Amino acid sequence: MRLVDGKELHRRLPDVGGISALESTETSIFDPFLYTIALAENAVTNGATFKFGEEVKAIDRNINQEEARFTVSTNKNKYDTQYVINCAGLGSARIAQMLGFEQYKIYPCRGEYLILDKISDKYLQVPVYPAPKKGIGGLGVHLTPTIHGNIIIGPSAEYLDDGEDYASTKPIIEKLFCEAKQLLPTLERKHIIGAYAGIRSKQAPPSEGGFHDFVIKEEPECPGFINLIGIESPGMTASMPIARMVKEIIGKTTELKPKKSFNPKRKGILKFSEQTDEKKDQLIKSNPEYGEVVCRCQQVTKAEIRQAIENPLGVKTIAGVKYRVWTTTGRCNGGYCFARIAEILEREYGIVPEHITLRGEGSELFSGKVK
Amino acid sequence: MEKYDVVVIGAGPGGLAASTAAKKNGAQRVVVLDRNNYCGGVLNQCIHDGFGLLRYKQALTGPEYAVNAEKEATDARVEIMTSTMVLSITTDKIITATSKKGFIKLQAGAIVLATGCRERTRGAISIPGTRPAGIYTAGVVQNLVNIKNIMIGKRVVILGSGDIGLIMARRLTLEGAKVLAVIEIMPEPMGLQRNVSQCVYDFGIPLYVSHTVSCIIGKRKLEAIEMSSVDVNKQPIPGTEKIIECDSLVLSVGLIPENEVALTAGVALDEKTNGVITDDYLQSSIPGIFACGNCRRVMDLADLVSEQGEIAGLNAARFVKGDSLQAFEKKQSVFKKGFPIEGTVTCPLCPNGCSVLEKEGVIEGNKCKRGEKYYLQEQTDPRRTLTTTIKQLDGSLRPVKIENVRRSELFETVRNLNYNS
Repeated sequence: MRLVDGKELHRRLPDVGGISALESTETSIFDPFLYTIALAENAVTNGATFKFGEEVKAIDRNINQEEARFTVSTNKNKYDTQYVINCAGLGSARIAQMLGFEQYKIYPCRGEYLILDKISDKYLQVPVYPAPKKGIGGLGVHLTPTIHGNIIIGPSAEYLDDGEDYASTKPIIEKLFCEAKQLLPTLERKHIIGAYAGIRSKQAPPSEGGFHDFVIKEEPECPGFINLIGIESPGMTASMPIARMVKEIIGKTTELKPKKSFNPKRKGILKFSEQTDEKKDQLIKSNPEYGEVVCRCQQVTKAEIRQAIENPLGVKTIAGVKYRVWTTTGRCNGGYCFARIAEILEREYGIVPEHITLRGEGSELFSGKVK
Repeated sequence: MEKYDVVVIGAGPGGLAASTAAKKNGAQRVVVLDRNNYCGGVLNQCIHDGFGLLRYKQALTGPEYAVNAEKEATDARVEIMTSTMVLSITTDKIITATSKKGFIKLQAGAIVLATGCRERTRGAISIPGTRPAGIYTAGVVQNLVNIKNIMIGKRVVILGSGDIGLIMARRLTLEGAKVLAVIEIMPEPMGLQRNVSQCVYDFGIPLYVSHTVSCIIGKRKLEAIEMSSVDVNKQPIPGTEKIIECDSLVLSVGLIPENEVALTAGVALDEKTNGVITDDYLQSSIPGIFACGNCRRVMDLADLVSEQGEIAGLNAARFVKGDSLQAFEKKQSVFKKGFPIEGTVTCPLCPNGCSVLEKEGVIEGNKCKRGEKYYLQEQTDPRRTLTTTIKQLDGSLRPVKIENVRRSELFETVRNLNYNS
């Protein structure tokens, strides 16, 4: 970390308001969606199985079973297992309760964000946070350029009664815009292209605020049950170290050997838009579907969309394609590509319109064919 | 690198007219590029009629108008490259594009931008609430229903009473959806009087002016919208909220000139509208790059877009030859918008759109006999021109137009067509 005076601040970030700054020279930004997807796809490639659309309803202990200490029941299946690792986030306290652990409580705390157009290379090349205000117990509303060139403003912090209320609200949208305008005076309404919200799994109740430490623990009374509870920010940054801690925990009672055939690489999807003209021509000649741009705003071709649909997790949704190749996220917000992607899913992957979803069961997009 | 005198980007009504005019005015090699695998642009999904009243003196459907425009271009020996997406243009008028055959690079003497417009999105107007499945813009719904044969839902709310919203209110109703409301933030409808009449009143769809959608409700799938009255500042008035349960919200909240291509050359765009700024000759801030149609300014009538395209094409050809350019004449649409005048019938047969009524046994307001005849027909046995689609043997949809259908038999006619095709 280093202190930056007003002169240097103004020279390096002329559009940002401020009289001085603290610089964190080793902070980076990346794509959180692609990170999670890449981890999951890599796990599948190396033998893991993912089951989507399955809700855990009960976990039973099999007391005299040495090989399968637990039976996990979902709405669709039953699984016998030796270890249960609870990464259920907002539901993590509920999962812990299924095995009788009542001491954990999650207080859902919503954070809203605004999404701005791709003006970051003009106005904001680095994340900018205001100096923390006393008593807030958080980082406050900040501006972050994304890996795709957008800027996001947020988050807010609001404890919720309904732990599944991902709504953006009018007063917060206004508040975010006004606070951001203080950090970036050149900001205008027309730069806002969207809003979204996430919900933190906080362990600190509203009366207390602030943070509790992560719970990363194999329950002594229940060997094999490992709880990861209250993993809010900086949970993403901490995800790898947390995973290694879990490995250490398991390694204490079960012999773990590095798998020789483990493939550490996840095959990414080549971005047509980032290639040279010559490379683009080569790609098209090798596969004509690289010559069909389906997402105009982000210049994503049919070949890439196909790769996104044919992912190792077997996910064939609009969001699944979006998070892998960034379709529907441009200025037209899917105005050109959405209908075309739906048609590809229908015609080329045999998904009838009434089963095409935004992000899985329950988010169906169409009622069927017209005729 | 292939050289062309004039390269037109976009084969909608503007681009096709521009390319035809360029050829007719001395440009030797003229090519029009389009990202779709067909010409006509958005006209192909506009299966309703009312196009061409000025240009062809007929009430054509969008596809029929597009066929005319394309034929004029091919008759004039314009080269057409479909399934070709322009990626960028330069101030030196070099165009790069992709197609299934490979990467394309062209050198143009002059360029005409005819890239049309895109729709304003939910995100851009910051409607509060969740982000469930079930929210669409009207043009996308029109494309899904009329071209891709995909139905969006069963219980629909439409936000915005511009022509696109009104047309889709009728279209969705005819294909079996229940349109629960058309909601408009302004104090009067924004579309043509005759569309308010034939798309909303004809079907008994509630029209709420000075209202807006103040919240979107639903976890993974749309469950309802919250509608509120608005004040003079277009802000929702607390206490006036009404919940309407629905599975689809169709947004018809404005069109924005689409100028992603223009931006790559640094063509000057209007700060407020995002349209290409042009001079009296439809020339942009870069000499030799012209613009016409919706990418310059969103227009109401395809007929006027074609006229404008002709001037842009003519001037592109003149630019290449070094001749002086022709000024273009600004024209206004003549159709009347808003609420149909109570007690009158808006005649749809020509651009005049006369409001015809009967006063003490005398029919007046009409400028010609056809208006009188139309009025009388409306009183005794209202008829409508039905436009819909039928499914062909290969599964694709074909637009059809049936004139003189009894208004009371519209549903049944569509149902029979669906059943029999």
